[in-house]
Order: sequence, then C-alpha cells, then structure tokens
Amino acid sequence: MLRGIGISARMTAFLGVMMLIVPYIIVVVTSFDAGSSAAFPPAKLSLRWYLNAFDRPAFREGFVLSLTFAVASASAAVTIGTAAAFALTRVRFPGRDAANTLLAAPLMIPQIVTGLGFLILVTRFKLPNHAGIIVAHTILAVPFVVRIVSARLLATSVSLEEAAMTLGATRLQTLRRITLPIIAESMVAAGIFAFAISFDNFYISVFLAQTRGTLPVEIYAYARTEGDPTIAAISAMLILFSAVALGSVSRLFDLETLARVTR
Amino acid sequence: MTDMAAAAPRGRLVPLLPALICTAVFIAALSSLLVDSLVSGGTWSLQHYRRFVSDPVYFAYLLRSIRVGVFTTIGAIVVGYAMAYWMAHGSALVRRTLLLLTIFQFFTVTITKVYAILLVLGNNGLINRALIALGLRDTPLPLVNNELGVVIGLIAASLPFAVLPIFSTMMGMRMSLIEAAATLGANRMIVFRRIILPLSMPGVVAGAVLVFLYSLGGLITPALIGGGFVDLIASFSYEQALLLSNPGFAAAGAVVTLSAAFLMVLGLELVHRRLRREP
Repeated sequence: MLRGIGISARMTAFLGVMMLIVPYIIVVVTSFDAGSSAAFPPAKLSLRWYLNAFDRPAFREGFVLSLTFAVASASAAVTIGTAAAFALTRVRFPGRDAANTLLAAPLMIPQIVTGLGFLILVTRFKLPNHAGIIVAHTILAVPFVVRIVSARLLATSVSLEEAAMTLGATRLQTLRRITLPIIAESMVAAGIFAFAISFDNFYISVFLAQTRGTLPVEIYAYARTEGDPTIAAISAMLILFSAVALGSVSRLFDLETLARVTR
Repeated sequence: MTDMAAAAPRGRLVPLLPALICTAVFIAALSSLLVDSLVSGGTWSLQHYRRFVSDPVYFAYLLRSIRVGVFTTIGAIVVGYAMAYWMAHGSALVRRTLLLLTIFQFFTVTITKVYAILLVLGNNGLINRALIALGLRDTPLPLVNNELGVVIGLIAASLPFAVLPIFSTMMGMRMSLIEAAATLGANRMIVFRRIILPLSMPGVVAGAVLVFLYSLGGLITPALIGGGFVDLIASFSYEQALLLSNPGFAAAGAVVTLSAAFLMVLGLELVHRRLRREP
C-alpha cells in the first residue's frame, strides 16, 4: 500500500494548503490593526476599522442589497433546482443526459461574459436591473442545487416511494410524506450553497447594479481607492459567516459527495 | 424505478420546465451579447471584431489573458494535484481537514480572498516583511503590480477548481489496482506513473478547463493585485461596456476570447483522448 507521498510532492501540497489558509489568517489579524496602511504584523491593535465599516452607508446598504438578492435567488434556485432534480432522477426519458448537460451550461462560461450578456439583455428589453440580478444569480445557482439534491435522491432507493404508493398513497401524499422529508436536508444544504453563490457574486452585480452596488461591488470600489484595513474588518466578519455556513452544510450533507458534485 | 419510468407520461417532466426556462434565459443573454457584437451603427457589421483584432492595444488583452491563463492553469494543476493526492491517500483526518478547507473556498466571498492575498504578497505584506526582517532582501520583492503576482493570486483563488475534480477521480480509482501493482513488486514511482497518473487524467483535464476559464474571466485579481498593470480581457469588457458605454465592442472582445478559450479547451480534450487511446 502507498503510505504518504514523496517529499517534493508533500511540499507542493503543503504550499497549496498555505495558499488556502494563510491569507485568511493575515486578513483577520490585519483587521485589528490600529494603523492605516494594512501592514503585517500590526504594531498596535484596535477596533477602529470595524467601526468605520459599520459607519459607511455604502457597506451597510450594500450588505442589505446582497442579503436581499441572496435570499430571493436562493429560494428561487432551491425551488427550481429541486423540481428539476426530481424529474432528472425519478423519471427516465430520452434526452435526459442532454438535459443534464444543458442545465450545467452556465458553469462553463466565464462569469464576465454572463454578466455582460445580462446587461445587454436587460437594457434591450428595459427590464428592472435588480430583477435581472436576482434572475441571473438564480440561473447560476440552479445547476448546483440540481446536483446536490440529485445526489441525495440517487442515494435513496425508490422502493420507499413505491411502497407508499402501493399502500394507496397518492403521488402528492408520497411526495409530501416520503420524498420531501428524505431530501429536506439536502435542500437546506443546497439553499446555503445557492445563498453563498449569490452573496459572493461580483460579475453579474457589477454590470447590473445601479448607484448602489452589492457588498462585493462596494468592497471592490473601496479597495481600489483606499489602502486602510476597513476591507480587512469586513472580510474578517464575512469569513466568520462563511465558516458558519460551511459548518451547517457539513452537518447536513456528506462533504465528499459535495466535493464531487460542486466541481 | 423501471415501473415508474415505464409509465413516464409527458406530465411528469413538468418539474423540469422552470430549470429549462432558466437555461433558455441564459442562452438568450449570451445570444444578445453575440448579436450586439455583430451590430455597429445600427446595421450588421464585423466592425467591432475588425477593430479588436487590428488594434495591438486591444489584441494585447487577448494575448495577455491567454498567457496568464496558461501559467495559472499549470500552477494550479501542479499544486492542486499534490493536494488532491494527499487528500485521497492521507489519513481520514487529513482528508476531512483538507476537504473542509477546499470547500470553504466556495463559501467565502472572492473579493475578500483576493484582498487577503494582496495582504500576503504586497510590498508591506507578510512575505516581504519576513524577507526583509530575515535580512534576505533589502528591498521588497516585486510580487504585486505585475504578471507574476496576478498569476499567484489567480492560482490561490482557483485552486479548489483544480483540487476537487482530481480528488474525485482519485477516489473513484479502485484501490485493488494499486494494491495489486504494489504486491507484484512495483515501487511507488512506478505505481504513480503507470496507474495513478493515467487514471487521474480525466480529473486533471476537467480541472484545467475550469481553472483556465476562471482565470480568463478574472477582473478582481488583475485590478487589486495587478494594480491595473496586468488587465485581462475581463477588464477590457468591463471598461468598454460600463465606463465607455460601448457594449458592442466589449461583447466582440468577449466573444473572441471565449472562442480562443474553447479552441484551447478542445485542443486539450483531443490531446487527452489521443493519449488515452495509446497508453
């Protein structure tokens, strides 16, 4: 059996781990820096950049916008994606593979292209920009919801549902009493994932947001002009949210399966 | 399953409809981008494309994007492969920790990650402070405002896209194959070269495609870490569409880049298939 890996491979892997973890540690430490140049390590500690982050209307309003878009698009994506997952796993039909591929299309296009496309579409048909953002975020999240809920449905035997119907339950009763409870946890996990996708989104929002951008757009605008650690303070708070989200998902859904379906 | 499937009337596919409508809207957005790129001055024309290809200033965006994309992909695949290998063959604790760390990246906000990487690479950042404190350098190593910094930033940001597909194919490998080879006297290097590497190639190709497409669409990393000196095609589209109100030209640039990207992806697939047929 293979035990461990060679030294150069191990160092390369270690480098990768450092790339994923060190920036977050630095940003949390920097967020408490009392100085205004965001240098590491900080000479003196303070909470002033947290106060500055809360003080600025751009960040407060951006956060509310992001939250609204994320809740709306995650709800829509979970509804649409779960229904699709149900059809894709429980009904066998010609063109099922094609449908699966088609649904994953948004993941294969760089988001800058998608964002520009939506800007042009929304402008041409004079649609409200915010509705455009929610629709676009939903479209980006649906493939992930389909994959997460499908994985759960595929891991569950259909015999439970068949047994219920043999015993006289109607389709609707079976759905409500058997299928939905089985996939409920994966739906919540998919919802958190969809929320994160929308909240993180920059490229759609930057094209469609108007005077006030979403939180990532406002962070971008601030980071381009200011060098102080305010962004570090916001980042530290967002990292905490992300950790809570991941913690919840890891309780609801198997991580290895998640790794397989979200790539 | 067969019973339910046999009785699949059209009505049972209704739940699929909303998702397909989403895809249709997505395709509509891409189509309007394509149409806009082909319209200039109110009529159909290739003017935007001609302008993009003939002006070296604009064409440079494409070349730079592909160059940065290729370097990023190579870096992310090398580092990601080592990580995936460690995850797949390490202890249960290592696997779970690395898996959590990798998936964590999908839950974080990208712009905060890029900002954090800037704090590591910058002139006042962790690496340069350490190098100067240790007396290894007198002046900061230039890791920002150049292509090297952008590539490092993009590697760090896109690493999960490389790790997860490779990890998946490694987990899908039958351990018995590896054990059999080891029992028959193959050393670790031979097992790796003859079994693990060829069998994990589908994951490598999938990861390379994802990382390459991700890096082409990068706008935040070039802006924050590249300081505006290493603008890629995304920055071009952004500026033309939003700052210069010229969405048609922006769209043409995006279409050219996307076509180039798909040609490269196609080439990678073909090479991969050829390699698989002649092991």
